[in-house]
Amino acid sequence: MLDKNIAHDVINCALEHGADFCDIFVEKKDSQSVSFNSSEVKDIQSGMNFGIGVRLIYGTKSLYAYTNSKERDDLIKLTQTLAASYKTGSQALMQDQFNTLTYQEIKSFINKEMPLEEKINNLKSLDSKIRAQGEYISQVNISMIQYQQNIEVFNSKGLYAHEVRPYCRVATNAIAKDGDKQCSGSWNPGARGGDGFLDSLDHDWIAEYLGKKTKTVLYAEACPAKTMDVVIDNGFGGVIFHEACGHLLETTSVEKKSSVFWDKKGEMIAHENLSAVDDGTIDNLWGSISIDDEGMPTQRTQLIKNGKLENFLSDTLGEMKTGHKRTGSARRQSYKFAPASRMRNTFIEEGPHSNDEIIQSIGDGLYCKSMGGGSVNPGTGEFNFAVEEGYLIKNGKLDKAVKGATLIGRGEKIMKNISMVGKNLDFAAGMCGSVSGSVPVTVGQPMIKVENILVGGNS
Amino acid sequence: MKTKEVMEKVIELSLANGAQGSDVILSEGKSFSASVQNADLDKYEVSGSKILGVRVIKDQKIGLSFTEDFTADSLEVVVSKAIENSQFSKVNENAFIANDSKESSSHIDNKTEEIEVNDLIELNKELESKVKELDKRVSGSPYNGVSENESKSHFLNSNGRYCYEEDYSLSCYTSALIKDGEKNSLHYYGSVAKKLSELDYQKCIDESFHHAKEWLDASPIKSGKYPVIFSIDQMQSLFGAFHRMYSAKARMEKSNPMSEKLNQQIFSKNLSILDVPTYEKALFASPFDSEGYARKDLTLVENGVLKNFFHNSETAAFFKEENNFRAARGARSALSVGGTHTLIQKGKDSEKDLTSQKYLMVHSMQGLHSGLNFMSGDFSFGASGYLMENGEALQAVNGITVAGNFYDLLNEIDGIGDTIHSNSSTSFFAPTIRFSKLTVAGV
Repeated sequence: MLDKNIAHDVINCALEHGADFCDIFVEKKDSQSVSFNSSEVKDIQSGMNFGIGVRLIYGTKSLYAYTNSKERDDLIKLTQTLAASYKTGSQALMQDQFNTLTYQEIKSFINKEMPLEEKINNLKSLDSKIRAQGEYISQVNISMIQYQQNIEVFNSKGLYAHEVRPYCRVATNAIAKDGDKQCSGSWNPGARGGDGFLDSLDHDWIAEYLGKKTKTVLYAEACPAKTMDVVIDNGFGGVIFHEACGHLLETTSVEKKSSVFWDKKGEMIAHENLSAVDDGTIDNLWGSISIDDEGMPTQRTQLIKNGKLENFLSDTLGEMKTGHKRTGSARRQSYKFAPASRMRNTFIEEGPHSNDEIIQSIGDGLYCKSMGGGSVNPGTGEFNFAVEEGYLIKNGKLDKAVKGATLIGRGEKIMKNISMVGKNLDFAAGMCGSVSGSVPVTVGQPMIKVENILVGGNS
Repeated sequence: MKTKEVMEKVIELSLANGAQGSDVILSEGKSFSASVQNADLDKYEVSGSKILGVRVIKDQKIGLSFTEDFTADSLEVVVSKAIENSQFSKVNENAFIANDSKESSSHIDNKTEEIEVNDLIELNKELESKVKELDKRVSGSPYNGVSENESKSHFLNSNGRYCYEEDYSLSCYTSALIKDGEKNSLHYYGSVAKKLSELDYQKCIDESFHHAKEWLDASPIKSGKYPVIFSIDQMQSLFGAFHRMYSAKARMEKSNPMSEKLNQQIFSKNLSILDVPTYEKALFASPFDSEGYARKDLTLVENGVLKNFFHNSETAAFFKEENNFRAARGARSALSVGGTHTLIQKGKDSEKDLTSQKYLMVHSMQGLHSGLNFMSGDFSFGASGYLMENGEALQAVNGITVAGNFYDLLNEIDGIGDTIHSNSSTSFFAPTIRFSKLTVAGV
């Protein structure tokens, strides 16, 4: 994509202007999306993004600029503009050529070329199966986005790294209606992969899941509002760890000492039954990357082991500012963002408890079968996330369905309240927004029990 | 090639490839931003980018494509992709390119003064230092920055309609992170303006510090039903989260719970809501929609009756209703609809009457992107604020949730104030509204 001689000149321009470090991020993204509504194709779009980001680091200060141009003069001018804001001496220039990084590539779904017409028929089939769940399904919206992100990283240490990342995600949404009652439910699987992932989707399972979920929520009563013990089922339930703890372990939050965990490495920050990992190396997963956006091979990072904080998620600046070693976690939405330490595939590891043991341990509580998204205030650790499908628990057994529940709390407190961990680990795809934009991530967990968490509801 | 020539070339290629009509959006942006930490520059970013999106209609089917590469080859590719995509779209009898005679219109609101980057950085240093000076417990200002943004948007269609808009803004924001033993609290606030002298940096400091300090000792209130007043920014967030209820496109797609409610009483009779593109108190004006048509004020709700949905040319044709020129489309998105600035008409109640007796003042909500169901109207959000009585704060409150049903909530209004307030980004204008009850989960 970018001529290596131009990259070399840009980096030397930065060094000549006194930068301690310079890296260049080149991105070309080809995308295609198809959306369905009322069993017809609503929109089909193709697109191409291309841009280059140049970062200069002086000490621990980051200067960043981006452009759509790959012309030498434009990039040099951009670099000079950045450098002009931070006047200093000059560094030794880079003499050698770039060394190409070799790394173990994370596997993607086996690709299967599907013509556009076949993809559309695939989605049509999914649409009709969801509608077949019952007349209460009044509308189905489906969209599919596929893109291939082609990246290059050059830096002043002589690194050249390159990766092609294929992504595919399908968003399904069903609306259920009965008289004046209306509700919607969604299921949005995604993966590192292309047409092969689309081909692998189990339409019968998705249709049945959405049919049952929307029917349940349509007739559910409002959830009672109070503090109670809560069971959160596997898969997307892992958003609790992502929000309540994961963001607070990113060095972007640690470096400002705004994270409540910034000085807790080696300490017990969670219940002894809880171990958690952020792993960018898992084949096929939506949040997997072979190299991060600074060109470092990604890693499996043990965050918490039996309740003890083991590691943070760190990038180049994070390491400079906090001393925590880089973990291959530098990520960004696109060339329009400087990289920052971000989660990849984050999950609670399997524990010793069966699902029955967990539910039977609760006298009066809430079972959250499926979760919506959430957010966290990284300064205070206050998090919230939504329950899409929930059931009350009475005397160790599932009771009536409830809707409109939200769980809130503080990360440092809730991590100690996750007292039981099941064995049915599963993953789910999501988008995570933070300082370096919106990036694909996976959340995951087996079933867990959280003691004494505040449940917000309308009853 | 100049910008308009690029767009003309794309339209020429579209027509040469068999399209009956085509329109092109080209957006350009330039920005500068900086962040100061511990009295020193921490981050500095400059950017420049542009993107072109084309929509073609061929055989009454729509195809879309976009590119950030403006070489001749790429322009041919973007058109051929759009044409190819159109082959797989449904036949859409209501899709057409605005067929008015050739017209050009523009709205230019560009910068009126040269800003030195160093002035902005110094302002940012001052924001941080002044927040820290207020209390020794302020351990930092983790969100602290300034930015300057310029945007240009061009629209051209195959019938010769051309529209150009240019906008400029400055912004600053800061935060106060207060720590006292094991307790901590964080709040931030921002200001947007056209001139450096109009940035309300003192309010950024005051708001950030005041709420962070108060919430340091905040606690939950008892669970129950409370009368509620939302701060103007939170009211904007809540109304914004359900703004799609005015979308004729969502109605066309059978994904709007208000689909069958046109001209029906949906809210309290005291509530009237308008969409005002060129409201004089708004920082930005939005005089043209994304099909190049001039917009006028639009009544959405009048005395509680739903009077209009947002229409573009396609939705208006579909419903055989009048187009009210609320087309919304970016270079990389399909034609949709959207509003501009919201104005809720003032009522007759004084602030004193509205703030009498006990009520919950909501100043911050979390989870608006996930804790609601647009179709049912149910919502449940984390919240912070103050338990108030006769306008005085009895207790700072956090660690609670507020839950209700948005469509019911707007029928449960105790009073509407007689003064219009503006939110911090001057896009939402409303009086104080006291809602009779929301469910609070606390202790």
